[in-house]
Amino acid sequence: MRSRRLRTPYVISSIAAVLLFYLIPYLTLSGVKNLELVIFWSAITLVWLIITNLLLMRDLL
Amino acid sequence: MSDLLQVFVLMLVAYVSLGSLIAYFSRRYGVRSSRDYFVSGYKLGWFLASMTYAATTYSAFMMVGLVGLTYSSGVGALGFELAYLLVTVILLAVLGPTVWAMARERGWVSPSEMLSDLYESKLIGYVVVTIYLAAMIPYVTAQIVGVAAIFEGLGVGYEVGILVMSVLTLAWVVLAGMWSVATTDAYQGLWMLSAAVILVFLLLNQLIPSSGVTLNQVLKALSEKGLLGITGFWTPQTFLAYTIPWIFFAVTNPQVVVRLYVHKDLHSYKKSVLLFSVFGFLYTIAVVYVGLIVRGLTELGLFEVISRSDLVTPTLISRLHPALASFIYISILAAAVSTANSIILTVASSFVRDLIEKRGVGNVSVLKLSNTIVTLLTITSAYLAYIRLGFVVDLSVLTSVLLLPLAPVTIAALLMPRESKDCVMRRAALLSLLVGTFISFSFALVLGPRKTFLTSYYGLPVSALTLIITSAIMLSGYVISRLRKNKD
Repeated sequence: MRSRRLRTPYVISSIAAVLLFYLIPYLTLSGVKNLELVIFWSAITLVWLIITNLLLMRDLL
Repeated sequence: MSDLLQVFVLMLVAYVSLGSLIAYFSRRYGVRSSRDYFVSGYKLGWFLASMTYAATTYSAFMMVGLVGLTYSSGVGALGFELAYLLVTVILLAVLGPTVWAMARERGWVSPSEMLSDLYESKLIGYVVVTIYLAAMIPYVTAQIVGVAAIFEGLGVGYEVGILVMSVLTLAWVVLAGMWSVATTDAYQGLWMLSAAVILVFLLLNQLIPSSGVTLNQVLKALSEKGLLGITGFWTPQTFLAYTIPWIFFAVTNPQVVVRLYVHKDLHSYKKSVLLFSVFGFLYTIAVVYVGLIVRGLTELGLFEVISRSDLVTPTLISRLHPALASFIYISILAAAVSTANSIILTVASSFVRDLIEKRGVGNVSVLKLSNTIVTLLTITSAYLAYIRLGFVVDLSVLTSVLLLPLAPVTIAALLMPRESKDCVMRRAALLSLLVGTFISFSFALVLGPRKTFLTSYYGLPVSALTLIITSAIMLSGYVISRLRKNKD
């Protein structure tokens, strides 16, 4: 039986993560000269993939 | 015959032979019913399930289109592709287990069957099959055209490319349905990822050093051109136009929706999401990296300026050793075949289940019929590629936009399976599908598919307007349905 106890907080946090994914580059990273934008997009995706898979494997979603 | 052509033909023979052996031996899993044929009898393990998901999702666009897009527009292309991966994995985590469980419980075989069952409406199933046909055949045609163009460029001939692609697509489906598709997808997915990683390794260890520069100098050249930030190409409207249709890919595209049904158990499903996450992340980073490095070398005057973005990869490959060039060309063919045969199999499943099997045809006939429909769909796509019908090929750009109305309809039904049976919700779903498809097709006919993709109104691309309108219809249906229930 799936507990799903973190499902709602996860969905809300995911929407926030996706909004950050879209907004931060246009609000603060649009004119960067180094790898900040590459790192931001890669890091937010990687962190969220890890969190998602951890929660999924532990039956919390 | 040039060295490249000789090696390419040899490697093509090896790729086709090994893939065909794999497809042939997958017959031992046994295909006796449409459930076995289209969804492997819900018996796929995590490795095959995740590799078929990855190989189906990532088409020839990655190694050709995304490399070129990165070359011409900079790091924004990374954001576009990672946005897809991020939201897809979220959707797989939130909705995937529900779809997997319901598919087994209710015996779903096709993705249109899922919607007609959730809304208890055969009409919705028929409308969805029609949308699949209109949206997916151009996408398969575009995959065939892409491969045929590569064969033409290598001097093998456009028609030979169409023939090879079509025969492989067809053969690797009809041998054992989902079993042969999944096993060959795993083989092809490994080939695709290996090619991308090897290409990055070569750029770092051969092309850059042999050009007499360092990676830092390449990055500096990109930085000076502003390609590491948001370039003029990636306006907020363009970023939305590219990402909105793709972030809902997991719930709109039939060939991936059906891959949520196939796992043998829930643990296998979860492990497959993990492996897909790893595959998607590595593949995206590798492909974008290739585009950036080549552009950096161009800025340093060490690589020719390429004006057409779809020629970046072929131009780069032409500088490599014939064996490596052939390996990468075959990886593009593999990406196209794995996407095309998965689409053909899934669209056929919708035809067979929604239009024929549910009217009471025996299993033997259904298998013959499935193979016949798969053959007809392949021949149609190949013919459209052969006559190079511009509008149809261009329409492939809009595939995910045409499928976008399915997003709110699918998500609403999965989140509220009880409410979706209400007649108001059913009508809202039908209206949403018809209005959304009408909007996309109207724009495509008036402006042309390519212009439609990037056109904005009130600061929003057509895809965003379609999504907003169709979501609003679904929301209205839900509110009216609730009000009616409260009144009763």
